[in-house]
Amino acid sequence: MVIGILGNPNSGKTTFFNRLTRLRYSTANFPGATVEKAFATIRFNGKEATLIDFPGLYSIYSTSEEENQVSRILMDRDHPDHPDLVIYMASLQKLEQHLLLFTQLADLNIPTFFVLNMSDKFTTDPNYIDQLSEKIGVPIHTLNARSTQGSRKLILTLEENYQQEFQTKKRFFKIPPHRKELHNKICSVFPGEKNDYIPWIKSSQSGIPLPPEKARLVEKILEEEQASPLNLQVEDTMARFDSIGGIPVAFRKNTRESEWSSRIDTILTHRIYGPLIFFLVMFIVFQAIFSLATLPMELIEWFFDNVIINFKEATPAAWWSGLISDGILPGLSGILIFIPQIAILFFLIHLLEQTGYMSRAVFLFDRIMHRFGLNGRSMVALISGHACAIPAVMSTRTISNYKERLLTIFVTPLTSCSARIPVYTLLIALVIPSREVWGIFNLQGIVFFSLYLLGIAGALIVALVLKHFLSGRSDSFLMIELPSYQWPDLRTVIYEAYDNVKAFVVGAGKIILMISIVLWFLASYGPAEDINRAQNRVIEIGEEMEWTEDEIQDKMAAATLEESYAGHMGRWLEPVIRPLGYDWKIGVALVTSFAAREVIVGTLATIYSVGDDEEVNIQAQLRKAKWPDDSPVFTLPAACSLLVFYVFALQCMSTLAVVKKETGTWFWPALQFVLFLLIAYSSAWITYNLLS
Amino acid sequence: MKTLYQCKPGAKGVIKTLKHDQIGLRLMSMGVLPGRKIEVIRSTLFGHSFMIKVNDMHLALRKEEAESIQIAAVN
Repeated sequence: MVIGILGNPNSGKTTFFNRLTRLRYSTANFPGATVEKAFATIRFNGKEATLIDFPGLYSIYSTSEEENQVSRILMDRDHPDHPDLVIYMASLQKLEQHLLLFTQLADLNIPTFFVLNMSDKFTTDPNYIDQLSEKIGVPIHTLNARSTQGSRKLILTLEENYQQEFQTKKRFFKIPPHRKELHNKICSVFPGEKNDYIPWIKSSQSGIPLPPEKARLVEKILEEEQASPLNLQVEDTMARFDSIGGIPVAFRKNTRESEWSSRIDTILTHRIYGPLIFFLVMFIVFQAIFSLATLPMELIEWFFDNVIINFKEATPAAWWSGLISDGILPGLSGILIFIPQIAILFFLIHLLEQTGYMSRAVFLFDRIMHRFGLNGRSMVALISGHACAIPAVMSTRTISNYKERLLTIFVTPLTSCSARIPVYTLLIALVIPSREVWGIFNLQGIVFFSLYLLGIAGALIVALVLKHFLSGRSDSFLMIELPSYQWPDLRTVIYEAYDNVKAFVVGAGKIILMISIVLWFLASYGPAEDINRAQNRVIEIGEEMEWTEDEIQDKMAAATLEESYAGHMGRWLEPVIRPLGYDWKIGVALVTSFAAREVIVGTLATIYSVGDDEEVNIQAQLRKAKWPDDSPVFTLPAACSLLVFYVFALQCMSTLAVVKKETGTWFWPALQFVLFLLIAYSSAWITYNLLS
Repeated sequence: MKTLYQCKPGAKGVIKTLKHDQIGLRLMSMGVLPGRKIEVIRSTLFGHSFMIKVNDMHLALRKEEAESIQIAAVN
């Protein structure tokens, strides 16, 4: 059974969806395979049902590709996502707008359970609900969207009653008098169709493809009747609003309250202060992430250091203990340490969305975005791309213009996602002193921030250049609703952040685990003769130079590493990366991190700890890294060059996969990969040489 | 009668007609309909985007979209 949640954008659908999935948790919810924002499996009447949160829709007549896909699903009874039952969310505040889609669904004969989101800012007549119910022909279930109790009761009611027909007795579709002839003709093109509204939609909706013969017939009829598809849509829409017009109205209790949101907007969308405040907010968010995360991170780090040390002491030196202490544990700790930062980042971004501020950002920056070939809505992708590019790429579904959407998808991965945080943190801590600048700023923090700025600049520049290579089409629009500001629903925000972090850790964790194991093996073993040869050489030289026992041990370990499989791979790569200041070990780390960038920390940890029994702290290990001539590897130029490389390079298989899915072809992700790699390489080279 | 684009921030009026094109259709679906009261709240720097209010709903529009709306000014 498929249950779909439908309604206008900002009607409270997603909050309700989250509540339901929490209450009836069966499997995790995640973005849909096609157009669904999210779907989950819930327990419904003892069985499993699929619950789908559809994107917000104003009308069945679509203006974006995303809306188009939803319309098609709703019209196609055989589609796997076609809902057997719709939970329709409407809010009291905007009831007239919200009823448009409802009347269309009703006329499509889809069983609908009507939920009215109440607001305590409005008063109504005592008989309001009854009158309204009478008018639209279905029972109305009220809900205070924020309360869980209400949601719980609602789903119980739904379970008890769903066997009943939820179809309204009313029909809202009225054929305009001067279109009777046209309607008859159109219906004859679809002889099997009993519902006389469906031919109307199919003839007017260009996004719904028809078999060529039918399409031609329809075209002819429209020409004869001197109507365009657009005319049909407009007339139907206006007629529906006419019939909705008579519904009972709710009254705002206190008109002063509605000004609260407007007053905030006076400042936040001020022509000059608006954008400035936005940047300030972003900066504060940024600072907050790092200051709040420091303590938890130190705790986690301390914990892991101890675990690893104790483990090493407690276990005998066998292959499996080496695997764990030098492979798996360092790899995992490299990621887990950053959970606090990642969690706070996701939390703050969801918070921003929930308050309604995101749509203001869309409004403020639409013009600028447009100049870069993007859309105001691209702001959402660019901002959330700082948490993770994957949901950001998916959020572009609301952009109707093909070129704008493609450009947004293309450049979003250039924004510094949270997976880069471990890399940035490690390298900055290594070579940038923690000094105060101008009283309140920390030098490390400033460098950090500039990396983020670099990513954003990169994204905008690539968009600006690329837009000239893409053929433009029309139908670009803004037209976005600015919902009233509201207190964020903390529970939803926390749950969403928790889901994100869990997905990140589990996803990254799996990859890291796998790669750590493979890498540990590749770094510990190699072609037997090469290793023996190297080890013998060490012994020879050691005798000559009269090294101590410890020194010989160290050199042995280093030689073994160098002759291992990983070593061979890395040294093969070295000529290419030498100009950027990297040695072969970094080379190996670069290669592994193309699967997922955060892997580099684990890889470096593994490579440097294999053969190093003393140091457990990765920073200390990196500081000790030397070239054959004993000069340090991680100098300022080399580390900065590596940082810049990481800003631009696309090192995330998941992102490539999502881009492929959203664009429908491997061409764009392939181009992204190659182009960003070139940008990364050249920028890193420039940085290295500039700083040397 | 003029288009919304020609109105200054603070202007209030009643919507007369909307252009019957894609933009007009979407505006209608969002509740911007002839006969309703409309107010221009503000515009961005250089006047490329508008914030308007129709029946308690706040919308952000581009200037091309604002040109789709004909209003009769009340003040």
